[in-house]
Amino acid sequence: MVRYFDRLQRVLPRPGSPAAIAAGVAVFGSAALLKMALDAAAGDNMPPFITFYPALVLISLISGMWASLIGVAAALVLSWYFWFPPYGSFDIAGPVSLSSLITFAISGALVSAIVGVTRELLDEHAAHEVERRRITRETVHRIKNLISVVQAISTKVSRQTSSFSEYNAKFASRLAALASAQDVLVKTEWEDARIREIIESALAPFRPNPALVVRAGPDIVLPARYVSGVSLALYELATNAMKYGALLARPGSVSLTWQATGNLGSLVWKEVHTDATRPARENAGFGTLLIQNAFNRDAGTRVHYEVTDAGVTAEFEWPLEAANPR
Amino acid sequence: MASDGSIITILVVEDEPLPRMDLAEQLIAAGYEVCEASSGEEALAHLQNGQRIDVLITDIQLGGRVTGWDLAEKFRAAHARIPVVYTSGKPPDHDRKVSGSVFFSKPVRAIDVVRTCRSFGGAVPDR
Repeated sequence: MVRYFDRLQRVLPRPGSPAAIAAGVAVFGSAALLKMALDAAAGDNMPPFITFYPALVLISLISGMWASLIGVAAALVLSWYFWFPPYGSFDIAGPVSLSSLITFAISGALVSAIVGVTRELLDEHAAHEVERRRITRETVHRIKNLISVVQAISTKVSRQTSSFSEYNAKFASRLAALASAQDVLVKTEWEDARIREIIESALAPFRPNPALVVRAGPDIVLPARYVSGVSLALYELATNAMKYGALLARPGSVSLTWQATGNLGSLVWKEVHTDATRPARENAGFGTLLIQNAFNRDAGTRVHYEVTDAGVTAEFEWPLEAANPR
Repeated sequence: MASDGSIITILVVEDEPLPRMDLAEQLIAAGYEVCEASSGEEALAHLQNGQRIDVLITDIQLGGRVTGWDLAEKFRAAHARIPVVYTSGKPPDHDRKVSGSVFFSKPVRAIDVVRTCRSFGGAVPDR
């Protein structure tokens, strides 16, 4: 049944459009002509509103409630003048005529309202259906893109691991970071996200940890297209700090701060080792790649990543102009 | 190798860094020279700079105003026979595909793209 209404909605003109107004006028004119034809065929006056009731249903459906209400008024005036005695006058012959006119006015308005609202519901249903299809297409597109990212991570990890257990552990941890980014994106409906939420989500597996201190800055946002990249980078930094750095069971600390300077947002990861004898990690590999590509090397962004014997510094900068948090 | 004996240069345009880098690495491993662009605008800069590009591989939705469809048309306008490979998570728009182009639905296997590039052999395949 819904399918038939959808088809009907597709062929109807938009209420208020020139086509809808023209159709309404045509239906009303046809109803008036049909009334005259019926009178002539019967050789007597048929009930004055006999053709206008179905006409109002059609006008309301095709042209909308307001057009139909105008039709009620026009039918009332036309019938009153021509088809109510005394003919050719707006005088009222008696209570029967008066009650007939009032009944038509009320029932015509009700028909217009009920059918008009039905038409609006049809239009709303059709609009929702279009939006639902668009969202489905967009979701499939995003899922496929996400699968591409997962595929690339898997390929990269597999090249840098020598056993399945090592692959499994590294791949799973990066999937977890990607999943946390998706949580943030779903929450913000793929709009710009607050940096605070991204940090909380990406670092949730590593907290609470007294050595990992997040110093909250202003309420700034990150464009949606960078959320996955920054989440993966933060996860990478925290994982490295847990495995080799300041969050391991050795004295050290990590501070994470963010701020806005003019039109730039910045996020700074500063990891300080007190164990200076520990050699610096190799500043290369897939983890480094993830960190350095947090912003896809886009113009206006900057990532500075440095690993030394004393610690690790990662600075991320991005333009704030497109900020639009939810 | 290109017809003049030089190494074929492929421009990979993809706004997602990891899939882009992965594809680029596999193309390099297959013997191609690869340039990367993360947006349509960046890819157009390669064209405007007169940089030699023998094959264009592009995603469709690139985050900016310039789509992969636009890019392919502009590259074809400049180089009538440049082979074009589209990759996308969306279905192909046959009205926008340039003639002789190849469309891959994501996720794309790099090996398939490499095979396709090999099949070009320096000429645009018939549609």
